[in-house]
Amino acid sequence: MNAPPIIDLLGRLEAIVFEADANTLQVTYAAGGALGSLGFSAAECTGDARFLVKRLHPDDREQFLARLHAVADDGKERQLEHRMVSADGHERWFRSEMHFVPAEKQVLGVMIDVTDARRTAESLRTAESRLRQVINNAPVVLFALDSAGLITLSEGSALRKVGMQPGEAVGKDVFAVYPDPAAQAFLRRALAGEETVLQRRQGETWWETHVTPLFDDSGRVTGATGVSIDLTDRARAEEASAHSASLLRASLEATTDGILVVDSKGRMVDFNRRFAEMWNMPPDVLAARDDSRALEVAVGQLRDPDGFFAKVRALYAAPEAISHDVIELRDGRIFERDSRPQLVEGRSVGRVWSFRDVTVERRATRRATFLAAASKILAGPLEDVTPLDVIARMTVPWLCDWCNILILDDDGEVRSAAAYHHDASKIELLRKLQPDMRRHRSVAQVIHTGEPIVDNDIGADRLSGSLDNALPSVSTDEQLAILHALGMRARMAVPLHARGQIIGAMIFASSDPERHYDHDDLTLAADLAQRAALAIDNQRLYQSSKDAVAQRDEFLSVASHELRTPVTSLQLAVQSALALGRDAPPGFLHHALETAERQTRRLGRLVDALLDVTRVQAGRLELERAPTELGAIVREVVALLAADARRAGCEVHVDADGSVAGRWDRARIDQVVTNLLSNALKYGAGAAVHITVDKTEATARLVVRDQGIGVAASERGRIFERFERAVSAKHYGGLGLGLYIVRRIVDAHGGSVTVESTPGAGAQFIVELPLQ
Amino acid sequence: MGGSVMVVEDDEDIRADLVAILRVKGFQVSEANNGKDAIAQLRDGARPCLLVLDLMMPVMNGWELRAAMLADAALAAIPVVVVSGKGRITSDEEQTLAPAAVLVKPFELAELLELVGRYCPPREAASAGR
Repeated sequence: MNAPPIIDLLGRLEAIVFEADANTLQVTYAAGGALGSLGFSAAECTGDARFLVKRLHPDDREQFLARLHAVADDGKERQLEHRMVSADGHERWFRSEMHFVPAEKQVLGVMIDVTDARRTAESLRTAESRLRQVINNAPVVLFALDSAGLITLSEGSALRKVGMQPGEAVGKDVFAVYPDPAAQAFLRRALAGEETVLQRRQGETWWETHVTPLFDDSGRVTGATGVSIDLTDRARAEEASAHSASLLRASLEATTDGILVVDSKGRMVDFNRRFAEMWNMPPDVLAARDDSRALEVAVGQLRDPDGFFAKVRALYAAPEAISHDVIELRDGRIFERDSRPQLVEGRSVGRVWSFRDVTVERRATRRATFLAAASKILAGPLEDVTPLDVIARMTVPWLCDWCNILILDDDGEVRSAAAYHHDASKIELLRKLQPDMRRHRSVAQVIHTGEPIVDNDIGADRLSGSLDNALPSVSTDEQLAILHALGMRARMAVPLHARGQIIGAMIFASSDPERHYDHDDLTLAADLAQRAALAIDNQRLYQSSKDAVAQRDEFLSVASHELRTPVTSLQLAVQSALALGRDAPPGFLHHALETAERQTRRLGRLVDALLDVTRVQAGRLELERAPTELGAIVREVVALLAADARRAGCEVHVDADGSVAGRWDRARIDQVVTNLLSNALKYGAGAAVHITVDKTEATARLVVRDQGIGVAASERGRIFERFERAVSAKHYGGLGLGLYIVRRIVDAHGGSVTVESTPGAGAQFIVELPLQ
Repeated sequence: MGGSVMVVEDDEDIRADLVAILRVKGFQVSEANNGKDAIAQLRDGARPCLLVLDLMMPVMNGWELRAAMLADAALAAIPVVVVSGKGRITSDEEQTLAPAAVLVKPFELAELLELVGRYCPPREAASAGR
């Protein structure tokens, strides 16, 4: 059967055309492609009186049937969108238009499948709603303008930051909304066709606005769209970051430590000025951040480069390790080195090295320790020079390569009391170093003036070659050769002071051309010298007190002998007289009495001499001046000592013709003459003694000359001291007081006494007394 | 020779006193005013029965004389009485000097005479013995 063309067309439409009885609603006709989509045939529909009721979605069924009834009742067409259920249970949406056909009492319906259209509309709605949600929640402002500057769109949650609601500004003039001249200029540029970006601050908020002009096909600007982004948080973060960076930089520069930051490969990342200063880093190395050259510069200054490298390698092998150690530089500086990893989120990305110059503290500690140790050693035994040897040794090598402690002797020459050289084979050579004390330069100058000297950068040429170019303290080629062998590129010479006297000097010398003695070194050297001088002085005082005790013991022994001799003689005379009694030969008793009388006088003189010493010692030598004739005194003394002279076998010749008179203490001058004559008889070896008295214009002169053993040159100063004698007490008796008393009496008169002698050929003592 | 006492003493008074009393007591006496004088006499052949020796003397002292005597076999055996002017001598000195006896000045005359009597018979006694 050939279907009419309209039916064929219906079959191709995604629709259903149906006729239903207006009263029963039984479908009397149904056709259309949508039937197939639902899984039915036209025959099924028309054959089933309840087809519509069954295939309508239960939720829409009542409404559909009500509309259909209404159309049948009043004949007015109606529309409805509803769902149908397909044969396999799916639902599809249809829009049904229902018309009444009065002639046939039928309702004609056309159901068009709108499922896909509805889905599209639904998804568009969903998309739009989501977009709006996005726009409304975006932390931005989206806007659009027409070519005149009227706002056609104003959305975005960021609007609230400026107190506006989305859409609120629509229809307003953008130039009225933003009166700020910078903003207006910016907007005008955009509306003139320029794509522009502006950052500006509004209230507490920073905005970045991008505006894109819109053009029509002819290239005319039809408006613009724009987006403003709130940059406040980013700006704050950047500001905070800049702040902490500047804080970090300021802290880096404020610290007294040198700081270097390197990455995990050891490349320089950052450093502070102090680091550059401490390591004397050349500016080009720093500018280039050239880590290999920086390392070269640093290592070149180290005492122990190998140890330094070992530590660096060990730390790079252990990225998490923290280390703290001390490094020494060749110029004497000492750094504490601290190294710790730079951690980012717990991961090591590099290493921070810090260097602290602790030279001053370390040196001070070392100095204090050194001086304490030195003091302890110097307080040790005084009997020998061992403590000074230890001190000299202690200074090597950290203060010098060699040290020499020089002591000034009585002749004005110096000798080495202790010497040490780091090369032990050179110590003996060092002891032979003898500064020329006549030159008043160098070491001699230190000893003469008490001012220390420091010499750095002593050229190697000054230790060899000609004497003219040599150091000023060197006066012979031999000394120059010694100095050359010892080595000396820097030195300090400090005086040894004791009780206001300079007793020597300490020399500290280094053969290292890089050694520079500074103020701290000199202070240490001076402190050490002070302690050494004190120890040396103590040793001398100890020795002199020991000598004094020995001298006193010897004096007591001599005094005892001197007293025993006359007492023995006296006792012998008395005891022999008593023993013999009447049996004594003729003249024996008389002789014994004479002896006794003489010995009594001798004892008296001894006692007087001892008392004189006490008086002179206590400064109580009082003179009773009266006109006194010197020649007369001499003659009297000679007469009194005639017996002694005879026993000594000495003839005494007096030459005192003219009158030599002055205001002197007669008894004391008598004592002077007596002592000098007694001495001449005692040491005169039995030869003639000559006494001369004469005067010059203002001075009286007494000369007592013998031809005996004489006085050695070295003894001439000493014999006028208390308890001294030029000869052994085992040979010659006497208290050793005679010349001492002579000198004190002559001194008290304002005169002088001297001795001239040729040992073995005699001595002459010359006393000069002022006449007035 | 043989029976003489040699007095070695630099103090003239003491020496003279000793010589006088010893002679009065009947001893043969020779004298020397220092060690050098004494050793010269000894080397000339003098062989005293006893040598009375002062220690502190000029030219050659008592220690030096004693050392010279002890070094000479011919003189080492001569007995010596040391007369010390400086108090008691030390044991070291005693060992060096090896004296027959030591007298400390001022000594008792009787003590000296007893010592001399022990080593040197008086002239009269010696002659009486013959």
